[in-house]
Amino acid sequence: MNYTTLDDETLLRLVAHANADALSTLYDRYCRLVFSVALNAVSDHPTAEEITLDVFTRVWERASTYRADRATVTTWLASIARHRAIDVLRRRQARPEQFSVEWAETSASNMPHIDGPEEQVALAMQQQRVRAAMAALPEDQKRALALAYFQGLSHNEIAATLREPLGTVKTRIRLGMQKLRQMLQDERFAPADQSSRGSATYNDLGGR
Amino acid sequence: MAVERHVTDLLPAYALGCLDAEEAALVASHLETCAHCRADLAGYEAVTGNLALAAPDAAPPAALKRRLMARVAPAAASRRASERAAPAQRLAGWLRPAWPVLGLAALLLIVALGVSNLLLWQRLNEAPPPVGTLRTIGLVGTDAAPVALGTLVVSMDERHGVLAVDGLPPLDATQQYQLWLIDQEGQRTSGAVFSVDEAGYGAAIVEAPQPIFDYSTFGVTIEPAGGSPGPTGTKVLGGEL
Ligand SMILES: [Zn+2]
Repeated sequence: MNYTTLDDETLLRLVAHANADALSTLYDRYCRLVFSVALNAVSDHPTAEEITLDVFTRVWERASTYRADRATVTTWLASIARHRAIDVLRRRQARPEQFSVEWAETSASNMPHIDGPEEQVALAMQQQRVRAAMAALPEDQKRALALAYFQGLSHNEIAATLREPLGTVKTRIRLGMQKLRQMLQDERFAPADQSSRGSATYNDLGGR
Repeated sequence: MAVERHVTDLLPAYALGCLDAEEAALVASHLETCAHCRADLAGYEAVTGNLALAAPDAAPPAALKRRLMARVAPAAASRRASERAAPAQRLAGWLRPAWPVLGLAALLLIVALGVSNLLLWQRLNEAPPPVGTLRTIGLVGTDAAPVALGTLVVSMDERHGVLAVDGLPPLDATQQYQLWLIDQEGQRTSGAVFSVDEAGYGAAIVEAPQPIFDYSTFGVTIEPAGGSPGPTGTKVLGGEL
């Protein structure tokens, strides 16, 4: 049986029935996403590997708790990875690598390899879209968002880290999120050389 | 009484999780009563859900996958075995209170109650209840339908049953599923012809010319609508006594 043609939800359903091949396929599909989130948060490879292992072990044990009406599989996995990484950081207390968190550079060479079912293609296009939107933000907004997203820092902690006034940080976070939202929504109506798939992508990736 | 103020400006940070505890509590309590802000929040949560896609690319070493698969391998075999035994046991537990009077009427009641509820209940991840005296036959999916499960509940006279299935691929109008009762000699008798809904749920009343427990093997195949005299299509479920 060829699992690579199955969609995410079907794979997860199989994982819930203890199908190791389905887990293997899901891992191949999302290990880079999970590892990237973890590595960017903790800044060291061994810890990021442990977090990735934890995330997929949790998927194996808890696949039946996934609810398709709440989040896509992508969003679900990313959220587990993010919270796991933040837990690890909080346990460490000291966070020596505060400034290493960054967002992906956008360039043509970053175009992900696309194959597999339609949702994989949609995911790759969404990735391009999110990165382009992020690239359009001012640096100071991007940095504040990165500290909040990857390291789980609060407004106060971000202000202390960046040595900026609290109000300034709050404004940066708010403006950054508002602009991202606007750009991601606008792109639903962007001219689509990528066919009608593009119009569905935003909703597919967490808009519901 | 003044209308409580919306928390519009706090929602982006709330969705990102970077408000301090006090502000987060304020937003949470406002959200409980304000649909407008809940809808607004959903838009920001979608943004947060997408942020992982903007993490710089990095790939874990190949050895990590080997560790993962080694970690889950022993569990895979045993968990699959217990999963597969579970539906019949769970069904038995569910019906136990009704068992003393369970006959064909009760079996029909199962269908009337809604097979999706029954199967929903089957899927609940609770510990299997003790097996009652209800007699059931479990069917498991073949490679053609790996997530499918079926349960055949047998009436007291053994000539009737209810087949409930879950996870079968929906078919187009030209095809249906057919249950086969197979005796020791390999003779195949049709037990039921049925369809499943979009979610892969289906149920059928089974009528058998001989007592159901006289058969040794049970199978479900894909057949032309209305059924075939003997199995011709892909086998999707199978079970043995
Ligand atoms: Zn409100």
